Amino acid sequence: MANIYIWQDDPESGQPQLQIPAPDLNVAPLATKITGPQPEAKLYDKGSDEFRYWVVAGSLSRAQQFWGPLLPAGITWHQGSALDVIRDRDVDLNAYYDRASLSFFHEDVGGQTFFSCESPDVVCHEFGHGVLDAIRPELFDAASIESSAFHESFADMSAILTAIQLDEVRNEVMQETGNRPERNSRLSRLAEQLGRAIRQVSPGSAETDCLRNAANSFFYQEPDTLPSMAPASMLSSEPHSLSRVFTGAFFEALAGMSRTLSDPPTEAALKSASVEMAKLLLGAVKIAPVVPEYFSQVAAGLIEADSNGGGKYATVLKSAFVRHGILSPSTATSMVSLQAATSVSGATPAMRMATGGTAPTSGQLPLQAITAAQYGLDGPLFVHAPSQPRRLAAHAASFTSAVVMPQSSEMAARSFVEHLMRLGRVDYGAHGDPNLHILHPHRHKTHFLERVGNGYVLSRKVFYCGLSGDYPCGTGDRRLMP
Amino acid sequence: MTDDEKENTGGTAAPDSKADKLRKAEEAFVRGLVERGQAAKADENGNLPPGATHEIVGVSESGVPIVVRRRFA
Repeated sequence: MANIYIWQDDPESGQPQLQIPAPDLNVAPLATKITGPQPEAKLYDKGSDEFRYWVVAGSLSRAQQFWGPLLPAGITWHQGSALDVIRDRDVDLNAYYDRASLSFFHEDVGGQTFFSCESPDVVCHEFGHGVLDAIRPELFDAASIESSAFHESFADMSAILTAIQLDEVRNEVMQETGNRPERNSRLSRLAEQLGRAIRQVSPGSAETDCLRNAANSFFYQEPDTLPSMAPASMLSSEPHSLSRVFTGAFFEALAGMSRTLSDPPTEAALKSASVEMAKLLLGAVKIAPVVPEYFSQVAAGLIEADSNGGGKYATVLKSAFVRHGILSPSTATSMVSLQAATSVSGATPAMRMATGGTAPTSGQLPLQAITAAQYGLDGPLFVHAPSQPRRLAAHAASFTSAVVMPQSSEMAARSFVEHLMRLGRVDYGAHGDPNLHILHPHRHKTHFLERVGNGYVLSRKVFYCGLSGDYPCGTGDRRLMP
Repeated sequence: MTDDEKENTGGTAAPDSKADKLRKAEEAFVRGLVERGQAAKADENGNLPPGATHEIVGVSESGVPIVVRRRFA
């Protein structure tokens, strides 16, 4: 078979075309058929229609080869036969999956014609919609923001997982990120070319360096509290926008899985992790009920699917989904098991105050006792609560017309601990049950636990302000900083 | 009213029922589609305008459009 040219992941990811043998697309279980005449397989000049034909074929083949062997027996496209692929349906900056076809478009912008079919990221995204529709067809009609957003996220995950199958992409990502695949890279940047075209006509509708970036810190918010539209820098309830929360958690989990296999991660570990992640995703979407809070159900499904296989990735999965707010720490830990908080006998005077005594009069904040079984601790957690009297009624704004009312001291303390746990900032030391901890093993710790009596006191050891808290910029540490 | 004050007065908000939550989620979903122009009536040939993912096929008793997905974009 003659060779053809393909793009690696996107025409504008900065890497040259590759040569591969012309693929056969009529391969079960995910056969596709590009409509229109098939040009002779050979190396065409980029920009030509024949070049684009084989670029699309190469992208489809890569997705087929990745997803096909992973699907349960008997699963194929929703409409049954080979799926039509329409390379240039009409004028638009768009692409879609509608059960009958994968359709792509072209449009002239700023003197350049953009063809959405030319990007493997875009083709493998639409292909992903079809794969998910084959597994969970009921999601197609679900009147739910989160299930729609998950469909978009799955499609983006399909683009990422498929790109990882190329040796050239993995090697470049490892070089670009210094073996930290969770960082911004050509892998995390999806559809650079289409994103550039969309930015020219609607600057707020695409991210600054691509269409969507999986290396993000978006944190889950209930969709009905979000605006229906927002610039790309913010979250909205628009499915592509909201999908970035799940994709961000997925991307972080994927990097964590590769690090579980090899620390520091290698390109081979990244490839193995991508296959493992795809299997977990397919397992999760099969068991996750379609409910409004679909993100958390799929995340829980991922952890369950992993535990069925021995739980090798439990820590990194919990960490990623907790950090992006998709799972609460209590949900994540209770999936393993939950131990009730116990007595406070042996507590210090300050701890006794926290359970009913008067507040201390010194400059130190009083201790507040909160239950901590959800964090894998076998005793109550005592934290320094912000409970001094309020002097001004200062409120934060919210997305609705209401203001965010001040929290009680206990609520504020609980929120703060929850925040630390989500970000992975607490050093457990040797305390509690390690099987119930949310460890976030690759995050710097700002707080530590001290066993006092039958409980634990939470204290800060350092302030971090750099990227992901990696670089110390100030210190309240009394023990560890030089 | 702060949470401290709520605790003092014993005030609690009644949680939404599951059915209420589901209805609100569905309404928010449809409202978002309409606001973004992603839900539209099909033309005489059954085609949707570019950018639409859902077809409006009717209106519920409560006035909310009834939509059917036609594609993922």
